[in-house]
Amino acid sequence: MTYVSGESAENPVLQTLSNSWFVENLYPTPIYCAEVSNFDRIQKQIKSVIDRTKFEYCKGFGDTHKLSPHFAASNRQYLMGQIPAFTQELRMHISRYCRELNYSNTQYQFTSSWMTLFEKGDYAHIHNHNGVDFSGVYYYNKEEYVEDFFFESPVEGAKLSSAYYGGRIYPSTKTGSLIIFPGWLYHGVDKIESDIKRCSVSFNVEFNKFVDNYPINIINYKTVNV
Amino acid sequence: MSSIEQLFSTPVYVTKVDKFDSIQQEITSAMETINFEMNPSWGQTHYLSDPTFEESLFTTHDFPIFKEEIDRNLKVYAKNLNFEVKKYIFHSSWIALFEKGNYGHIHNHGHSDISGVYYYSRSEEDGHIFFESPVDAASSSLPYFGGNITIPGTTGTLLLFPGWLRHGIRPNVTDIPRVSLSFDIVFDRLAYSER
Repeated sequence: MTYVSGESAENPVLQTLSNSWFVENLYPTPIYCAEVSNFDRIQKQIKSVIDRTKFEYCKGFGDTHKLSPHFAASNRQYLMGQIPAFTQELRMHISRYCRELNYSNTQYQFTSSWMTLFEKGDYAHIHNHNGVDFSGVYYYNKEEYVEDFFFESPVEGAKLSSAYYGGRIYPSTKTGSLIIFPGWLYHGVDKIESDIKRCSVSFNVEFNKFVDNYPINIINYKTVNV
Repeated sequence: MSSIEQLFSTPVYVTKVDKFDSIQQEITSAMETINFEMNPSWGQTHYLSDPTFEESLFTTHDFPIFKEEIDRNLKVYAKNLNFEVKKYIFHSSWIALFEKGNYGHIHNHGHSDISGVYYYSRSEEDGHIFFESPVDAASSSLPYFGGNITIPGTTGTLLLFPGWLRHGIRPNVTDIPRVSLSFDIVFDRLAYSER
């Protein structure tokens, strides 16, 4: 084995390189971030549901955070029908996200939706929403710009080498923020340190896989232009 | 107002070497002493300078100019990764020869931090390297891309990529032998740990 000293190429040397190099960032995980436009109406409708909702801890999770009864399998899809302003706006954002992904399938359904309440000391364990295509969260109320929601790197190999980043990424969020992300992407919520109650609406989206015009992404290869 | 945040991407470095003639000369000299053989357990895939991988080419042969070129490009790549290059070794290095019909099965380079390949000779039409998605789940959901990405190259191209990233070589369908020099870089963990 040959040892090479990293000292042999200090920064000035780097400047002697030709300009022909580039870094191609392959396989990014695209996350959709937005702020809703119909904010007041959406907030009003969600508040109306919250006011008559009893939030409870989920037995299987332990005392991590409280959920609305919509989380139970028997109540799925019910919440979206109660907040039509949000559902209507969400459909527009899903269309935008699909366009960015170059995905043309427009047949989908909300397979589940629920509300989550975090009080001081609450948190959410790391999990994903296996089996669905899109997952998302809308922040009805949270402490502004406190980064508590994180994504775990889906690239296992990157966790094995310190040269690559395989850690967590915290998107910047505030009340009114909407995030849509792959259902398979692991995520969690850090322990809430604030007295401000953190309340959000979560949802899962599944596309119809039995469609005539197969979506563009079924093409399973790409070529980088060098 | 909306935006797409592209998170957790896998950076691959592509460049043309600066000291092309000198590097080609170094490799030509080494090639004259090499008896290429196939690894019998891999089938008829391609020829290797050392199918056992027991001896590193950079140890048995002298490549001062090529190593310096790698070192300079490694620094640029690392800067892009926001990673400081301290002490590292070439854990292994070898030459691969792909004749007509040869290919490279899908594999990764185990515990290597950064792997690299330099094209000594090749056609531009085939024998391309392709990478497999490191995100298995992405291929299970139609909206996301989880397939293969091909990076074409020419003689004189140098690629640096994560050692853990699975890749393969598409068949060489021409009569032009495809010859490449590959290497694995491992960083000295002790140089990065707090004492």
